[in-house]
Amino acid sequence: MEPQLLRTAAITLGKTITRTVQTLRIGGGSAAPGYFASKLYPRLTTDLIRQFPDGCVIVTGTNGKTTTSALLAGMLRQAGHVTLHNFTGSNMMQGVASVLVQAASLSGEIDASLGLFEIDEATLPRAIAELSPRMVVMNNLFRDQLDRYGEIDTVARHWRRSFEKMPADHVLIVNADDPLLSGLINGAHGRLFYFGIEDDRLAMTKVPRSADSMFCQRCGSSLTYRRIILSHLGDYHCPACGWERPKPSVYAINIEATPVSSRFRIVTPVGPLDVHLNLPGVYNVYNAVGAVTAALAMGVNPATIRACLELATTPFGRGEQIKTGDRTVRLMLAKNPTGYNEVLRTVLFDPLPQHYFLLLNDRIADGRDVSWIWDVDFESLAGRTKSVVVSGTRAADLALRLKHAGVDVTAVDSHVEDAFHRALEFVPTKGRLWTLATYTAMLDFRRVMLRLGLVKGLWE
Amino acid sequence: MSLSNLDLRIAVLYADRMSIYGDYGNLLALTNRCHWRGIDAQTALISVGDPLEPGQYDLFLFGGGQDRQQVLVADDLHRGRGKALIESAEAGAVILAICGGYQLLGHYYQPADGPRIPGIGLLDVWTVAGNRRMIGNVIIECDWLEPDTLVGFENHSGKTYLGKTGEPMGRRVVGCGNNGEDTFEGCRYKNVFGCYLHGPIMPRNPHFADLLIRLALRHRYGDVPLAPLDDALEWEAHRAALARAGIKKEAAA
Ligand SMILES: [Zn+2]
Repeated sequence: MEPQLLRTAAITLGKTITRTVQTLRIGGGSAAPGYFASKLYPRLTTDLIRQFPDGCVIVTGTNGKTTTSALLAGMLRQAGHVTLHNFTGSNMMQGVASVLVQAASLSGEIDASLGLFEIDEATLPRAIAELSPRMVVMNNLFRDQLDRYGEIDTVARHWRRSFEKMPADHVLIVNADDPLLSGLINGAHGRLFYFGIEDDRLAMTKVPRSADSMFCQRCGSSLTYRRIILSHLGDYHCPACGWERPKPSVYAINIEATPVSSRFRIVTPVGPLDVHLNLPGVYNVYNAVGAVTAALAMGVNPATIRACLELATTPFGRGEQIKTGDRTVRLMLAKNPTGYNEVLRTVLFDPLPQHYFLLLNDRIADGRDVSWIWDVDFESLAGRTKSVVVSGTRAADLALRLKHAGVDVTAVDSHVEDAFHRALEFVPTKGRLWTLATYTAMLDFRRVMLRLGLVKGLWE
Repeated sequence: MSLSNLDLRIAVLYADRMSIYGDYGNLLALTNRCHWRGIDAQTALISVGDPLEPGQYDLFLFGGGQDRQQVLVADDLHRGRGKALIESAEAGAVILAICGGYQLLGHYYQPADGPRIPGIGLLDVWTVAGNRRMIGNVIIECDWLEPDTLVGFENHSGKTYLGKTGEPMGRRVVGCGNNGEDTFEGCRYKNVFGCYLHGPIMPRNPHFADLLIRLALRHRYGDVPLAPLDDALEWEAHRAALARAGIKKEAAA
């Protein structure tokens, strides 16, 4: 078949699958259309992205890439870029292909000037090769789903190799507070912009257990921290060889964070921005500062950036609020130790009685290995909860982890809908049920919410 | 002898450099299972350059690490700590070594590139780098354990082979085990247990955890009976792992 025809056939196939998935409300199927379309025509993605006059931007990192890319998408659109964005968080190459197929006409035209793609950290080398991005935004690199990725050193090695291949005029936006990131970025081609947090009042006294890259990337000695913001992120230096955190050009100061929002000032080369952000926790301050740095490097003006931050709402599953009668469910994605610890740290600020619904799955997208739950600081919940209901495919393992943390488990039920009803029974009028779930558990939970008529479908 | 007067001395080896995949759960489960019975479990972290005398500890935990850390740790073992470990083991101290720790208790680890990393030869095994990562749930059967199943999660590319005197910990029912070629998983010698079972292994295998505690107490005091615990959640997690693999067994008390 002619390449043109083959491409049209692939797009048609992808669109058909997309429609089927939507009609059947299967959900979570956002990788399938791209997968099958690319099988039929492997050059599909490379072909389609070539038409974007403003090129592609990639956002990657272990935690926060969905929020960061959502914030950045808002800023770029406000600045006039017609932006195509894989907003559902389906962040492997199949997910990117799905978004392209859905947006394309049958002849392959896409009405967009820029592609903005959230990319899974293991997929980054392939994404750089296929998308030739003009900019890569890197939030952080934590131990995450190691069974899928191999060890963190291996991920770092693959990243370094692909940065070396990038053209020199490409832009890298890097979290200076992450020693693993700043270590592996050493020697990368491209223009580098660092961001970070400079606020000593937030600092913790010791590196949490889940932190995993406290060794100098240059000489292997233990790093010393002047300030730890979260996990292994902070202001570090190596006492042996003198390597230290690069000075960020954009950074947050004077942070006041609550379980639902935060206020802070972002210092930038073009002047300070005072921000009120409707997203909870310090981790979202990192997401915001990363997005701001990227937007500034793309030439978006500061007033536009500030307005977009004020308007930010929680993306799908990242603190989403669901009303059920006179009670509220808050849905938080928690998929690895660092993310989990930050969510717990934030939720524990909630002055209302603490009711939890915790879901743990071990499907491929969650990581088959759930041993990471032992690195979550569940001990911080001990004696502070009113009710804790556990569910998911690995409910028994999570219940056992909580037992060892000294947390009283109220009920264990691997059936999500039944477990949800039990969890809700404990929550008083006007109370909040904090629902923390791994990726596919969150999709399962949202499907239950959909069936109960409490939320709308993703495509509605 | 009253249990409440007992104490147990646990050493966690190189936890700062070789502790990944939730191995902290092993320490937590062992110390909790001691504390719930009124046994005072004291933990010390032993890292590069720290003093270590034979007889000082009853139980050692030795976790897995990344290649770069492995070289550093191997080097340190050959500066006296390895000898103290061997003497402790010969005198009946308990060692649970997982993944990288397991490999370093053997004769050597041969990486894909670079020189051979020498182990301490306490277990008659050797390991060579493989080109495929063995990742997934593991279930093994052990004829020295009651009930006879252990459940865990493996994640390694090193392939470990038993020498002539190397006694396996068990036979794999699910997963790759030592090397994905023969049917063995792990190696044991006296009270030394080396294997690839992450997960972590202690919480979901309470019978094995209690065996280690009993052996460690024996090293210190002679035979001491262990008070039973409510292990309903432990066995639920264990049985769930068996059930998901399609194995029906009367595991559990
Ligand atoms: Zn250094």
